[in-house]
Amino acid sequence: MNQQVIQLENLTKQYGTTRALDGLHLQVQQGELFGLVGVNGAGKTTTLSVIMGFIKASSGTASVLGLDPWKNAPELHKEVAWLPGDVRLPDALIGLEWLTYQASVANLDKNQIPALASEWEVPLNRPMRTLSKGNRQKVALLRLLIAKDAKLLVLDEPTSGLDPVAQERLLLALRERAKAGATVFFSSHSLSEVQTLCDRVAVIDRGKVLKLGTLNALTGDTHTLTVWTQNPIDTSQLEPWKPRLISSTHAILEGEGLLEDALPKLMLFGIERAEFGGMSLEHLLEQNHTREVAR
Amino acid sequence: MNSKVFANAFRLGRVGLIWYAIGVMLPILSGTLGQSAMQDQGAALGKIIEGLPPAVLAMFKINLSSFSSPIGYMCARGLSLLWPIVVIAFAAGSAGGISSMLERGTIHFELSLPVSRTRWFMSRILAGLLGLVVLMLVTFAVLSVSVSAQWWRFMTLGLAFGILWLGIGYAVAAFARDRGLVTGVMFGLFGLEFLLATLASTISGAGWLGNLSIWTSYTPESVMNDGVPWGTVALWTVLGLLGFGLALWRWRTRDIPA
Repeated sequence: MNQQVIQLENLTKQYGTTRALDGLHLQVQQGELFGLVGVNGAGKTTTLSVIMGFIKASSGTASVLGLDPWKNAPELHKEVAWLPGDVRLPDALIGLEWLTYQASVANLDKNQIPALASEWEVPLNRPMRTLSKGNRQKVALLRLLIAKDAKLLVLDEPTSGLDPVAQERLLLALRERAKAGATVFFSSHSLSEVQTLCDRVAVIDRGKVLKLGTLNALTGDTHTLTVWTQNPIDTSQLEPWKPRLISSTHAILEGEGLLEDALPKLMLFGIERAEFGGMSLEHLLEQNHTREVAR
Repeated sequence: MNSKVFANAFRLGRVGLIWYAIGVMLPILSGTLGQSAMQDQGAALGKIIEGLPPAVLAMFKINLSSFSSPIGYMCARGLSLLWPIVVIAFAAGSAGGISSMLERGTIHFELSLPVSRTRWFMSRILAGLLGLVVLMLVTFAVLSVSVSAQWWRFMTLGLAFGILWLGIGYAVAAFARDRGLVTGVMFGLFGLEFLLATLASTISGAGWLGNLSIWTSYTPESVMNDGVPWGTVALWTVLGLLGFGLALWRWRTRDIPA
């Protein structure tokens, strides 16, 4: 039976008058690829901060690998690898120097660093202030990857700043880790990003879990259709769709049956280009708010 | 303490120490050369000094004897002015280093290491104290040319002075989120202390203000001539340690969101 790696119960976090977490419940099992999705300010990073023991929850309980992350942070950090969203590294140090220091304090094998750096094409012999954002992100990624035996990988918007090739490799590496039994917990503001990786997703908003489950179960048959037309779009002719107009000839539609029902109507305006994709986070949150108001 | 965190914290300051060692020699060398020239013109210098406003003399602790011997000159110029400035700048830099990590967001990689906050912070404090000792040794490597007979006297006072300001610096840094605030508060306090001592020595009836100032007890010349004021040394050391204690408590309980 899989054990619970992360267990958050009725978690709240208050910063002055702001409630960053408001009774958050969450369970993540061993070996899961779990995505925490929400718009900016939803409480994703605060949740990750509690899990890492960087902050103490105002109330509720948090258990990570059976430990209290605030009280037992050093023990927990032996088993956890962390990647922040906005990577900041000590500017004056060169990458190799910093990684070697991190590896030696965390008792990790520092001999693997050169091979990983070469695999990821990271220049480790330069001061980190001279590195591009993408390369800094890669240095931080190496820090995560050298923790080969980590039981839990916690990543905050890990693909931001990475080029598409590196993004793909990272997702592949995370899948391999999960296959080997590690649990991957990461946050994102994009549903499409977690779609390609996660077994389960929690959507949070205003410090609460709104939805929890597999992405298919959450989004159903709802999709997004983005179109660019030759002529201005008359929204009254698209009823019952309620397109979001970016400009008079650029609109986004979301819902079910887009290809069957909405596309023929849009053809009246002369479609130049169309993109079909999964449901957006905004739409999911909008649906939820609409339901709340209806109640 | 974690030896690797300690070594890393100390290592980060190595470039600064090298530059300090080079930098400190320049004013000391020029001061030594200047002292010889002034000694030759003792009478003329005496007249100039007598003509200076009492406030200036008090502020820079200048008296005729300061210039009559190499020891006095070096104390007046080197120890009275150079060391406090070095200490404040070092304390602001060392303590501000942690605030800078908070400000720049590099702290979370440190926090995610399997080292308790207490051990991590203690390693930083000990690295700061070692840095202070190294700074003092570098300073004395030059100054001791002329003050070797009583070097340990000023070293005792100077170290206690350093521990006090380092403790204040870490306590301020524990509540601040950026290096600028730490530096500002440190130099603000430094200036305030200086002002109080100056007012106490220049305005009649305001002598009590001197009791509020660290500067009143910071007397390198009298330490070299009369011995170590052990009460002051003990008080400063205890206050410095209290500063470290306050900083440690705050560090252990502080939320540091990612």
